[in-house]
Amino acid sequence: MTKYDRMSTLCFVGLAIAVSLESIRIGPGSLSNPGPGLIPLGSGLVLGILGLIGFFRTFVKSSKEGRREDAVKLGGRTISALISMLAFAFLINTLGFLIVTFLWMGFVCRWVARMGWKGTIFTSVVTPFCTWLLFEYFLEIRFPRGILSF
Amino acid sequence: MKTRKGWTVVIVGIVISLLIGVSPALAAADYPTRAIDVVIPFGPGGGTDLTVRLFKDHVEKLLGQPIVINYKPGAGGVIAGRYVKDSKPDGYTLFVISNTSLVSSILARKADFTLDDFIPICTLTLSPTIFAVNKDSPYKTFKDFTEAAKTKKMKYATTSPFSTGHVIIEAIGRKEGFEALQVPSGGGAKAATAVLGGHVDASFVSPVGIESQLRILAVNMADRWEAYPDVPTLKELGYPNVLETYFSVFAPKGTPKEIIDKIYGAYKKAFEENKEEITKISKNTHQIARVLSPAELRKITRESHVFFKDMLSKIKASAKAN
Amino acid sequence: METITNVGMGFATALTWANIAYCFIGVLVGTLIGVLPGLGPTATISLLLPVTYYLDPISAIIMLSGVYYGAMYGGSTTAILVNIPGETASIVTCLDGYQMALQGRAGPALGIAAFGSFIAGTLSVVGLMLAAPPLAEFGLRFGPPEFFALIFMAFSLLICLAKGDMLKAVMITVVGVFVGTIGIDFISGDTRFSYGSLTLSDGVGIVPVAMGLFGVAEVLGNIDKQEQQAKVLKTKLKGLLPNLQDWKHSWLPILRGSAIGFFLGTIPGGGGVMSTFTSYALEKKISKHPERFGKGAIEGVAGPESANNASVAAHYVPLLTFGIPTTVVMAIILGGLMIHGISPSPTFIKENPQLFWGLIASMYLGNAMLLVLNLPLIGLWVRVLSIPYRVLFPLILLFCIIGVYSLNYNIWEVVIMVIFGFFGYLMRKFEYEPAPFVFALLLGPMIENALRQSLIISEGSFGIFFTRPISCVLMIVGIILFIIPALPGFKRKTFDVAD
Repeated sequence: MTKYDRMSTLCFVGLAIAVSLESIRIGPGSLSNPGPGLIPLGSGLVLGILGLIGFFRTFVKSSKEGRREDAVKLGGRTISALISMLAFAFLINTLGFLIVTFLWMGFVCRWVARMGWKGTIFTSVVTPFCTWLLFEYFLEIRFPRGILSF
Repeated sequence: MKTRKGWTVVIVGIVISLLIGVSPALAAADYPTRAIDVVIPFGPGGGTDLTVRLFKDHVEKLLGQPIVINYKPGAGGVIAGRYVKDSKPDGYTLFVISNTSLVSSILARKADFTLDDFIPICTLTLSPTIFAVNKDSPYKTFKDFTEAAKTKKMKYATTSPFSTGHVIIEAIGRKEGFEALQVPSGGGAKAATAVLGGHVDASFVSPVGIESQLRILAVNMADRWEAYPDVPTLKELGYPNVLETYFSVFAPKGTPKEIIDKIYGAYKKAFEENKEEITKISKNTHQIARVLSPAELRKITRESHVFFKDMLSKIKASAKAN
Repeated sequence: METITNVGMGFATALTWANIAYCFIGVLVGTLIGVLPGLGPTATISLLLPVTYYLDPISAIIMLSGVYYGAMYGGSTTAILVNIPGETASIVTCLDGYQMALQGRAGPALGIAAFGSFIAGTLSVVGLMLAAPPLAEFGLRFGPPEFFALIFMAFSLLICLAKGDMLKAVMITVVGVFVGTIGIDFISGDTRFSYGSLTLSDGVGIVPVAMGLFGVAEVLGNIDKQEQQAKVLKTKLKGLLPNLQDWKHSWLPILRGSAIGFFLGTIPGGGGVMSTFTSYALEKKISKHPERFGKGAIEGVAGPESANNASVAAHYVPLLTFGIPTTVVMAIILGGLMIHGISPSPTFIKENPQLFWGLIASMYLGNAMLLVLNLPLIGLWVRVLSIPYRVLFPLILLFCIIGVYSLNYNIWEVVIMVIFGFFGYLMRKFEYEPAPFVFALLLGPMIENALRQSLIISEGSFGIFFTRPISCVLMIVGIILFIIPALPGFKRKTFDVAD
């Protein structure tokens, strides 16, 4: 775990430095007349200090070793799920909600959830219809219509 | 054979061009033929939403087509404005926003559109801005307040920096020679609450209902407000009468005049035919239903823009000096 | 004695068939909205507003209140079952509720949430009945300095939310504060850290973040492990309702939660999230076994859920006495009232006894209906959990996407949710907790604004926090709470995190 702790604390220190610099640029004002940059600067500084403490702490031997060593590796399915959701968001305005939902469900069911073809097709067809009914019809939420105008 | 075909093509071409040339007029003539989108820059339930709903059913009946409210909240109106600016100017996308919010989003929020991107159609309601102090406060008239403000720094609550209240007090302050501290509260109700609780000296926001428990010293309108007939207007007190807030309807630049006139006609008629009901409900929500013409709205918007721009540069200049 | 006649009159009003029907519709719709992640009572109530134009004011407000109550409860259902907070107020319920579900105890979790909400709702309605005006007066005394002190105290409690490493918890909290500053600073009018993005200029929304960090991240974490174990969502049905042991643990948290929720609900900004989180932190702090929290301690569900429901009734206190809406939903309800020509004021209750007492009676009714409605549903929900996960999770993700989109119709908020889903996944692997981050995101801007407003009012002097009685008290409590962890006894825990 120490390896990961080192990575994460260093990332935070990096973030802290970036935030602090930007806060100074924005204008921290003074303690009695705070400007927009004050709280961000404060948080940047505190984060930086804590991050350094955390980093150096990893070098101190402690009874932390007996912890679960979950390797941080990104499974392919996790990544595809994430990317597919981003694709959903970006495509929804061009292709329209119904089509995108159909495609997305198809993709996720088949490749991420590893369902068979029958299950995939069934879910991908039924879901857009049901969600449309529930959200657009009953709850009056307007989904975007794509170029094919539905 | 060739000549016959040639002539056919020419005749068809002429007919088509005539149709195309005539079709906007045709389109305008039978506008509307489908649902109209009214875009509002805030979410459901807000003042803008309530105002639109006030007129919606009546206008729908007159125009014969449904009106769909399209909520595009965000960035103080910039998101909605951008959407309307980019939409087709065929009269099927309208924009309801107050003139002050529109001007503010252009000047203070640095939107990438300008007043010229929108065609004013008509106003719907007038929303007064009122200046109120706590009932236990020593200031009984507006003059008491301005006099006192010259000696000590008064704190007044507003919704946000560069809101109507802020800008007007700054203008008055410069005229009278005092500087007051603005306490942005993030909302009309919050600002009024701050006064009610005695945390600030005064508030200058659009009415939200809490005012009935405060002492109102002045109203920012051309004529006295019916709800509080004893309260003087800022104009009477000697200050320029600008930045009256009207919730108004706009259309994207390029919308044909016939369609604009039709929409204005519909709203005006809706108001006249249902005057009693609309006036009553708008009174309950502390607004004054008033449908003004496109020309009047244009004048109002431009005046707001000028005033706002002027005050904004003055405020920014003194902020830099501090 | 007048009160009793009034109560009687109130019930007479509320128990007409029409009003019962409106109450039921409201509660039903509210529960549905609450269950669907992202969708909040705000949108629904606004949609229902026009319907209420044609009703008389009493029926209108009965229905709208029902929606609010229902939504509060519905939000906890998804929080417990799939770790998605259906409402921001349900975030806290995710912490222990979901853990309980994983242990096969979804039923008792849902059950105690239902019962707790009912008890709390009933108690708070009594409070509303008896003490509305003086409580409202008290709430008014909370100006920016008091608010600052209150949130300062909350931050001290925030650290308690962490179940593991204190240092990491504080770090992630600070990151949360920073992310909270992204957007327009409403005190100066400048935009911070948004770099031209319109979406960011409105700030990073807490709903996309919460749904990403909790819901999406959880799904992502599970997709990974799919092969190894069909995650214990196949609930070994250890009974559908809370057992005696559960009740023993929960009854005091329920009472305490009700009190906390009720008091905080009368303060503008204090309802919902603040009360749930204060209740959770309090329960953890005074518990004899704080390490159980975060692993399925039923007190962690009972307390916050009660606080949640109690705060709903409390919201009516400032609303009806002064016309001050303390949350967005209340603002809409106020709009609805005003449209009907009803203007709240200190004399409102005296002048409109029928409306007020009718509302009170309908709240009792609403709470009872919720209980009756939801208890049988528990069995249904638990069965939903037994659907194979690989069929379930695409639906969960889809509903999250739709839920977030429906808030502002902005695809970028969906993107934010996905990004935070990824962060949440990383945070779990790197052992940082999402809860403190979300709360810091919420509380950070609040405390900053309160601080700056206070300093404007005091013209720069920090003394304002101590010269005013209420804020002085709160500040001292906050400072004490802050110092306690730093004491020697506590330090051991930071560096020696046993499992």
